Amino acid sequence: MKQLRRVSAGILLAYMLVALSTAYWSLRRDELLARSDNPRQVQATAAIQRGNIYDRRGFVLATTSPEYDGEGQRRLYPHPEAEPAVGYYSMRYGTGGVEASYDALLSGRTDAPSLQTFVSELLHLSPRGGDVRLTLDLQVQKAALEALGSYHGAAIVITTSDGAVRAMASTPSFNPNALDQNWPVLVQESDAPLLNRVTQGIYQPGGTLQTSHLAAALTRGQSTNAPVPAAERPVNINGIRLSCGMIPPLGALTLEQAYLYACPGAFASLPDTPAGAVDASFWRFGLVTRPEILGLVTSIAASPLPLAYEQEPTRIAAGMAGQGSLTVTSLQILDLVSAIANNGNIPLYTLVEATRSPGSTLWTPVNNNGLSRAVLTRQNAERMWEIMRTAALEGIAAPAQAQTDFPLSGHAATAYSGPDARPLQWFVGLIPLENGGAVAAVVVIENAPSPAIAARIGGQVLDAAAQAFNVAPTEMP
Amino acid sequence: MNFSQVTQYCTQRERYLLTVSGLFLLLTALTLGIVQKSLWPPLILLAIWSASAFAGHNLLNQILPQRDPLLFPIAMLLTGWGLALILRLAPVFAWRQALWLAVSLVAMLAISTLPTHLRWLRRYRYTWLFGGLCLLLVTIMLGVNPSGFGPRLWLGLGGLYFQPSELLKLMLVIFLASYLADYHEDIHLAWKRRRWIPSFRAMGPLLLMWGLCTVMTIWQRDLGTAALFFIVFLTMLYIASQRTIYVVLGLAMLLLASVAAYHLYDVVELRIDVWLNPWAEAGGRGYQIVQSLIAFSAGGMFGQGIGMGAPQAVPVVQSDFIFAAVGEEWGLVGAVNMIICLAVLTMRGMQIASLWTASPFRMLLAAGLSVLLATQSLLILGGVLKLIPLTGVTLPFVSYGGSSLLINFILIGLFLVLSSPSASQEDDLT
Repeated sequence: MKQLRRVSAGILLAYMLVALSTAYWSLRRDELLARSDNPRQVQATAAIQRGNIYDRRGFVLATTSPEYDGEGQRRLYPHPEAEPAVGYYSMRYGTGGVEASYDALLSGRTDAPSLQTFVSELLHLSPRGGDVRLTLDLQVQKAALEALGSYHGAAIVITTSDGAVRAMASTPSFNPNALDQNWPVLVQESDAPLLNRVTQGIYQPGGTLQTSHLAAALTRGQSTNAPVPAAERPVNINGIRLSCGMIPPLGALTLEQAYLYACPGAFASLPDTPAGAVDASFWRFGLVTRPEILGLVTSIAASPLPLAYEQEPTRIAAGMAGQGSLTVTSLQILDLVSAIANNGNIPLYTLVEATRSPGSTLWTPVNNNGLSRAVLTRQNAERMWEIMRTAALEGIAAPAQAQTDFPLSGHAATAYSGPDARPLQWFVGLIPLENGGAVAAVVVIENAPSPAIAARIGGQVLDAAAQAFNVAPTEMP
Repeated sequence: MNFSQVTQYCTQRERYLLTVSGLFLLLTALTLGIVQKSLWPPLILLAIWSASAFAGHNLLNQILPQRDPLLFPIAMLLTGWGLALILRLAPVFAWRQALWLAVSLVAMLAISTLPTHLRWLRRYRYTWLFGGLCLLLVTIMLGVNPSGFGPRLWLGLGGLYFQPSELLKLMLVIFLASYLADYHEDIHLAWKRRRWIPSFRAMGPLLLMWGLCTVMTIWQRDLGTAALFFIVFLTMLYIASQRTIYVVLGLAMLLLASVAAYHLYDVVELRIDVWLNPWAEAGGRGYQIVQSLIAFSAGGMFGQGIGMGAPQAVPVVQSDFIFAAVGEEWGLVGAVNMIICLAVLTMRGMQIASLWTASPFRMLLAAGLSVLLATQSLLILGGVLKLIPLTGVTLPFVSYGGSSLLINFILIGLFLVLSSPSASQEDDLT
C-alpha cells in the first residue's frame, strides 16, 4: 500500500536525521567541551591526584588528600610558611607560585602520547601528578619568616655557588590551606597578603643603590679612597632630606667610607661620572632587566627613563640616590650581592632542584647548566666583599653581624617611597660557607623606621642559612 | 517452509537475539559493577532481566509460536539497556523499574493470550477510549507528581504511580483504528464526490474524540502527549483515507495551533525560545538542553563507558534525557545503535501493517501503533538533540517510567498477536 510505504519512508528519514544530528554534536566536541559551563572539566581536574612538593631535605610542603570527597581532592600544605615559594592551588581561584609554574607536571598533564596515557584514558584512571623537589630549605624558610615577624616585607636567601633559592619569605602572608574560605577577605586586605613581595614587590631602591655605584666605580677604575667633598652632608631630593644611615666619624669621607655609613651625599653626585655610565651600570647589574628564577614567574617595574636623558641635575641626583624613576624588586638587588659572593658572576637562580614523573622513583635534576653572567672582575668582587665586611664590623651593617658568629658582610640603607615619602629599609649581605661559595640575602622592610632593623633581620636570616649550609643536610627518614 | 519449520526458525532466531542482548547487558553490568565498586546490584538486575527474557520467550513459544522474532528481543534489549542506565543514574528508581518490567511482561503475555481475533478490541472502541478518558479526568482531579512538583500527571496507589495519559495513547490508536476501519471508504470517497469535508457521521465522533483528548492533555499542560496525539491521528487518517490533503490541512492546523500556543502558553513560548537559541540562556532556561548537547559531545565516537561520564549534569537525565546519557557513555556508536533498534521496531510494525491490507482494522492498528512508537521516540530524540522543540515524553522502553514501560509492552503484545499468521480475521466482522 502506497500510504504505508510513504509513512515508513518518512519515519526512516526522521530516524536518519536524528542519527545525523547525533553525529553533528559529536563532531562539535572541541567547541562544546571547552565551554565554561561544562562541569566535566572541573570534575576531571578534581579527580587528579596532584603530585607533592618537597623541600630540599624531603619535607612535604604540599600534598593531596588521598580520599575523594565529592568536591575534588583537597590540597594540603603541612608547612604553610613555605607559601611564598610553593604558592597555592585552588579549584576556585587558580594557582600561584611553583603550583602554577609546574602545574602541568603536578597535575600529570602531558602532551606526549604514551602507552600509559592511552591506558589511563581508556580505563578512565584518574591521572596522578608528578612530584617537585625545591631547593628551598624549610628550616631557613621558617627562620626568615620568624625574623620578619610582624614587619611587612620580603627576604630571599640563596647559595651563591649554584644560585639555589633557600628561603623566600613575604609578609604578611596567608595560609594556603584556608585559601578558599579566606579569599574574599584576602583580596580586600589593605596590606595585600596575596602579593608575593619577593617576586612581585616593586620598591624604590634608595640607598641600596650605593652598592651598585661603588661596584661601578671600582669597575671604571675610579678611586674609591679619595675624599669626596661634602660626602657626610645630607642631601635634599624632591623635598626629602637624605642623611647618613649612621653617624660617620669626623672629617672628610672617601666613597668607601661613605658606603660604610650609608651616606647618600657622596653617591647623589658622583664626581667625574657621566649619567650614561650610571645607566650602563644599572644594566650591567640587572637593575633594569627582568630577574629570572627557574620555576617561578617574576615581575619587573616599567623601564625607567635613562639618566642620560634627564636634563635637570636634581632629577639626575634623585636617580643616583635611588629616589628617581628606577624601581626594583628584591631579586634585582640580589644580583649584585650574589655576583660579589660568586667571583663577579651572577648565577641563574633556581627554586626547583628536581622533578619526578608520575609513578617514578627517580628524580630528574633541574639543571641550570651552571649558567651565570659576569658583571665584575674577581678582584673587584673581592674588594666589594671586603668593604661590605667592614660595613658589618663597624658600619651600617653592624646590627646584622650582632646576630651571628659567622663572618658576615653587608650593607643597609633607607629608601623613601610614595607621595608621603614612607621609609623602607634595605639590607644586602652574605656569609661565606666552609665548602666554598656563600649564602647571600636581601631583605626589604616596608614599615620599619631604621635600616638597623633590616640589618638585624638580615643577620638572623643569614645566620640560619649559614648554620644550615655549613653542615651536610640530613635527609628525611 | 512448513508450520514446524517456521516455528523453529522463529524460536531459534528470537533465542539467538535474546542471548546476544544478554551478553551485551552482562558486559554492561560487569563494567558498571566494577566502576561503582558494587557488583551485586547490576547482577541482580541482570538476573531479573534474564528471568523475564527466559519466561517471556518460552511462554510466547507456546502462545504464539509463529510470531515476529525481532520484536520481543529488541524490546527486551532496550529495556535492559534502560535498566542499566537507570541503575547508573538514579539507583533508587532501578528496582521500581525492574518491578514494572515484571508487570509489563505479564501484561504483554496476557495480551498475547487473549483471543487472536481481536474482536474484543474493535467492538468496544468507545468503551476503551472512554475508560482512558475517565482515568485522565480522575487524574486532573486527583493527580499527583511523585517528585512533589511539576505537572500532576500521575495517579498514585501504594507507592506505585501510573500515568493515565500513557494508556490514553494506546486507547486512542485502538479507537482510531476501529473507527477508521469502519469509515475509511466514506472518508476516501468524500473527495471523489467533490465534497471537501466528509460527512459529520463519518468524521464527527472521530474529531470529537481527538479534540477531547487534546483539550484534556493541554489542560494538564502535557504538550508532548498532545503533539503525539495529533501526529498519530493525522497519520492514521492519511493511511485510512489515502488522501494527502488531510496531511496538508493537518500540518497547516498544527502550524496555526503552534503559533496560537506560543502566544497563549508560557510553557510553549519557553520551549520554542529555548529551542531556537539555548546558548543565550545556557545557565538558565537553556541549561538542560545545553548540558544534553555537551553530553553528546563528551561521548565522542565510542563514549566514555558506563559510569565513566558525567551525564548527571543534565537534569532529569534518567527520564526524558536518558538518550543524552547513552550519547555520553556509549558515544555515537551506542546512540546510533539505539536509534537503529527503535527504527527496526517501528519498521517491523509497519511491515506487519502491510501484511494486513485486506483487513483495515489490523492494518490501521499495526500502523497506528508503529506511528505511536516512532512519534514518541522521534519527539524525545529530536528534542534532546535540539532538532525540534523539547516535549516532555519518555523514550520508549529506555526511560525511567513504569506506565510508559507497561504501555509499550502491551504495544509489543499487540504487535506479536498481529504478526502471528494464526490470527483470524474475524475481527473485521463487527
